Amino acid sequence: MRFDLLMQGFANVLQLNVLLMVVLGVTGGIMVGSLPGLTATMGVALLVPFTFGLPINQSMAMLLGIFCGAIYGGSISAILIRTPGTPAAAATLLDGYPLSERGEAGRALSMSVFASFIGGFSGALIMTFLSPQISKVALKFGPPEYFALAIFGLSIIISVSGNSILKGVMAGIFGLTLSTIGLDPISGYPRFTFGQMDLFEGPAFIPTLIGLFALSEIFKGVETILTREKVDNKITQLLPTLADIKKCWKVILKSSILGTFIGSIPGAGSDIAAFVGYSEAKRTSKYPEKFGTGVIEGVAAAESANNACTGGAMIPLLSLGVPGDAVTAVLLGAFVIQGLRPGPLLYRDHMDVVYSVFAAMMVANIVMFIIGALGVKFFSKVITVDRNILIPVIFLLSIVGSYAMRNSIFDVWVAILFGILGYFMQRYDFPASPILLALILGPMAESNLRRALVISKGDISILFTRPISVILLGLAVVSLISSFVKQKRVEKRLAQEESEAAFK
Amino acid sequence: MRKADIIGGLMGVFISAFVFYESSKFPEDIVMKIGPSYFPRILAMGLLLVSGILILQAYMGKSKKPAEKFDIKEPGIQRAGIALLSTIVYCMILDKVGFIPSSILYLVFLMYLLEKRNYVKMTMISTAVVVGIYIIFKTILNITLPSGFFG
Repeated sequence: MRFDLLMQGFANVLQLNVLLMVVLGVTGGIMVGSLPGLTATMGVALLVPFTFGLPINQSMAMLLGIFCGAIYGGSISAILIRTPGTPAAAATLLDGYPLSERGEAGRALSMSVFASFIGGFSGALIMTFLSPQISKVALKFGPPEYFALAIFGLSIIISVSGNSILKGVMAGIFGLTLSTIGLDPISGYPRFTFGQMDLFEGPAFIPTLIGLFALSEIFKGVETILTREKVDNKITQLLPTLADIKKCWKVILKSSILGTFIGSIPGAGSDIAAFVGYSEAKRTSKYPEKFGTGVIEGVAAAESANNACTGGAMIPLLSLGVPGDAVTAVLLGAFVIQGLRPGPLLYRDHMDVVYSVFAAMMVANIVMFIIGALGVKFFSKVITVDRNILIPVIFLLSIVGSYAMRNSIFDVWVAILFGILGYFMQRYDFPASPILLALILGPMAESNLRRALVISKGDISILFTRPISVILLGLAVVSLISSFVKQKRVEKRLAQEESEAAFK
Repeated sequence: MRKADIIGGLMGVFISAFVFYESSKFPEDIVMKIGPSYFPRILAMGLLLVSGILILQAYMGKSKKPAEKFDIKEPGIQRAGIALLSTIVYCMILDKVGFIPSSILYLVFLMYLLEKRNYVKMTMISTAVVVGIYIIFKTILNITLPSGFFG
């Protein structure tokens, strides 16, 4: 890490116009995150179009603000109305909701924002120290290693998403196939474009994303007409008490470190981090049996882990160009729109940008803490927004967002098409995130595979004889097989329980 | 789920067949033998294999839990369908009518679809949202939305 560059990064971020973007991003992120049904991925996807026209510093600051804010925001609805605003907050509600039932919502929320801040800030710190080191290793990667890395990233996301590995693999391969639409990266020959100029660069990323993660969700959203939520709790406490902090600080630190490392594994997202952090806190607690009944450490563990995960997920994104989860995949798309390709080369050519990202990440967490604590009453009102008015607005934002990037109605059709596809995929248990990652990793996999084969004169064994690529490909196979085995085991147990229930 | 799995699998088979057919028209790289069709064909083979397994599993009755049936008569599904149709219509008139009027119409219609009936409130919220988005995009983000005949 270089301290002088980090200082320069802070100087870049601590300008009024950049700070303003952080504030807007964090506020927007918390709102999106706290609304059940709007995931962080969807939030970032919908808000990315608002950053197109901005200079890189401002747009990155805003996006990182949204990212950090959304992960924290999920806990608000988890605590108040027992619905996680984002999947990442699913572990938070275990103890958060019982606390709020006892009338201690303020206590839970203030701990949540505090733990989120410590977690997120630690994650950002670890990222700042670690990712330059990783990028140094990655700079030595050749085409075979990059190919293996892409496959590894895909395999992980397939193994963590959805109930069926087979369908996950299918979605992954389908996504890779989609990524071959457009000009061939090596020869420039247009493939599968049906003569459409609009398809020369492949299906545009942001519209595809909006279709898969926003439109599909709201097509489903209009199926049921929900009544407005009610929040009865009065929130008077903005900051956690010293006694609570004393009780939780160990848990928070442990969860922060755990969360960062889980986040740094490509494919493992903040929902997993939160559960690991939670169960670790439960395991090492003096009173594990009380977890789930409203223990403040439960909230602290889950929230610090899932926010630490944001920093962790940025590590592979920045240093390897492989996103750690669906949200960072969207961020990668946003980087690319700004003309920057994350990866080791970014560290060589655009050090200033990298360190601005580090600084922005830390500043975003501080801003999140301030806005989250001060605005908690406002955000708890946001949850009660009438969904039957909100959903139409999301429809509109989806269309406008798809249109805005290239001023193209064609892109809007792309979004609608993927919206329909995503709707049916969701209905029939096909996960969508492998498609998203495949779209990003596809070109990386293909061009490096072909470059590797050019180096080896067509001998495929080049992929299996270099140590790093062997390890990565091996890990890819292991992760797929192990999750397949795990899935079989779960199914067996479910079948057993079912037959036992039938006998009773 | 069984039927859905078979349909999903068949779509996979279809896509892979299409990729094979299309890629046969790609120019071959004479020297390296690894041209534009190399990667798509590997993928098509993979897709064919996975789709085959999916269909086979469904055929042998090994599909996962049955999904909710896709019943076109169900009001929820119909609402999703109408939302889709109105979105398509909205996109078709967007260029001609212009962003502001068509978007307000679109929002009010969707709210109506979601059983809101307070027209004054619906129109006011829609107008505020649409004008807000328009201003943010145009003045702050320098992105022009179709202005249509209202210019």
